[in-house]
Amino acid sequence: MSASPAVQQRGFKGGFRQSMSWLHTWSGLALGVLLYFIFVTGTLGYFNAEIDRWMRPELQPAPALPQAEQVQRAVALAQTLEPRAHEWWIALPQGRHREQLTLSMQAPGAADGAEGPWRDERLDPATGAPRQTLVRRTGGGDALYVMHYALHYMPSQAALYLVGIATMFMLLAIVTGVVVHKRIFADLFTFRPGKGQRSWLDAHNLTSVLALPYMVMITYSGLVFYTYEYMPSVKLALYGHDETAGRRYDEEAGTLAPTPQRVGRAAPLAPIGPMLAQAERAWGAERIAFVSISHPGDAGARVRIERTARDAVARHGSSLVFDGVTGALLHSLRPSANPVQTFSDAMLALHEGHFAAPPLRWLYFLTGALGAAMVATGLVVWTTKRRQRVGRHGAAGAGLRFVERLNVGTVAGLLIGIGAYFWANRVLPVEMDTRAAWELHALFIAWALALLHGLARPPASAWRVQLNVGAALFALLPVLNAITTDVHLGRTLPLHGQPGDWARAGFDLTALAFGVALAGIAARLRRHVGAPQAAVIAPDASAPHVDDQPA
Amino acid sequence: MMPTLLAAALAFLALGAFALAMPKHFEQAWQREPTARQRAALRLAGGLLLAAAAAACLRAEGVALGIVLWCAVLTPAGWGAALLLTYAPRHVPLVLGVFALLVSGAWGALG
Repeated sequence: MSASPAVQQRGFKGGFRQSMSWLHTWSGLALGVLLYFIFVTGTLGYFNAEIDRWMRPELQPAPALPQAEQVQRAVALAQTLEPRAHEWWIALPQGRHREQLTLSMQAPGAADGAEGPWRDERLDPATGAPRQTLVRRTGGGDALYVMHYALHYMPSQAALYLVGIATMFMLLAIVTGVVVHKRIFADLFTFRPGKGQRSWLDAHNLTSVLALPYMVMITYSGLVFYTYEYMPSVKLALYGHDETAGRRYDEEAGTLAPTPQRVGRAAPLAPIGPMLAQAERAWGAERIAFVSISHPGDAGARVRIERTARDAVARHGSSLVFDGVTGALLHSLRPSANPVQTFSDAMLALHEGHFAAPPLRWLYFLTGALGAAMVATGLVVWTTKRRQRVGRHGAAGAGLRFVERLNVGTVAGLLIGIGAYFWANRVLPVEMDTRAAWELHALFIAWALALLHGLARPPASAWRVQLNVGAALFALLPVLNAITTDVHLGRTLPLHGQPGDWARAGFDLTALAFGVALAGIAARLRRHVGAPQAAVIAPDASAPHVDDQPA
Repeated sequence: MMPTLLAAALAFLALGAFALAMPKHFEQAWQREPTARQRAALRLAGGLLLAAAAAACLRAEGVALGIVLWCAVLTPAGWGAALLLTYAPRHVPLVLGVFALLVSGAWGALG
């Protein structure tokens, strides 16, 4: 190496590893808050169906009708509600999403063949009819899930770009992190607790390195989702940007049959039962994800039945397209036509993990939580490293003091916000029209208050207070649930011969465990931060006396 | 459930063996330095166990999902090894031994 040691000391000009270290430090810090929010909300999204279920306590579990029966009843309902529709779209319950039977209807547009607005009817899979009981309006687990890429309080396009930038920084931080971690194999299993900066760095390394395949996958695949938003030029150059461009691209990629065209001549819709039976023969029972019926009542009607993709690492199932008047099978479409799309679909499927049965789903949740912990410990390392440099009572710069205080409200504060979201779901009046919006307002109000509190108070005490508040919010959720609903642990656990409802019981138990864990961390902080601080303050206070002694 | 637990236990044993193959962790567990032969044996055991974990995943879930599951169980397995070495280093051989017994039992039961 020709560079002298003096040159190497000069920040990021001094060699490859130092420049990577600089990049890792600052790319992580710059978007740490956003990345932490993305990891926390996205990880909760792995249990979106279970959270949905907990947040809609009015829904009672009832055995669903066979799929063919559900579709036929939904079609009958659509005939009465929107007989001249441009399209009916029926989404069937799949696996964990067992409440989801949705009939979406697109009204015909003003011009011939044009598309009008959509409207949704949520049906009961047990009866195929619209739900009779009042179910509280809530964003549920899906609102948390959607926020991890669409954020909130901003246009979705802006959010997409912001999240895209954060994701690219994340990928950068992962790659540079592997480069700067000199002892990545030697310290693979090393954790040295109770040693301040050393321990935080160990924790940061353990959370990231032991879950590295997941971190790389989730970050990279997150970018693949919006490839054409972030890098649109190739698609625009080849397909243009008129309104049919996306459609033509999909048709050429082979995933869609030719777009159904309205003929303008009335013809009754063929019975849908035989088509569903044919799909069942091809795929097995209860394997349908969606049924789409274009131009019902027109001679150009088409019925497309799509298979579920949730039993494979794939995003789309195969589909069958039928002539809606004769009932004849027209096309049998494979889920993807070329290796590029298969790869992209596999990446997205890995990201979403719809295929994951409970054990693998918990592993997804765990590694996602480690991602949040990785960002959080990274933020803490940034401050402890600088704090160590200036000494505990040295003159910390304004930047360091600001980040120290911001970290509290970011890391612990968001957890308080999530807790407030669940509390709002139980506390707001059930009939309230805007309750879904206010649940989310509660999240952000609580988070904002926590950020302010973190900025106003000394960090050590703010950490303890906020972790304890979060602990109380989560640990008391099962109690609040028992007071406000009748789907509490006494009913949802399979006790006394009752069937049990593990989605809801699991939510209560997880909230309780998480609350206890937060309380445990707060208690540890009291021991570790409280004690050394007192010890350090004492000699400082006595120092002048020592100086006063005549030598 | 069972295949996942079996795969996770195998991965835990594998990473435990790899950890013990490092002089630092070997000394934590046995308070003496490993011989070159011991280190090689532990590394070999780790490799074989890791392959066994992969086999358990692939057999239970097929190729695509099996690979996903294999990657997924490595994380808690690594954490298990790291926390065990941190908080109960002298019990590492005992815990790994108990897991080895459980795993061979489960492997037999699953056929």
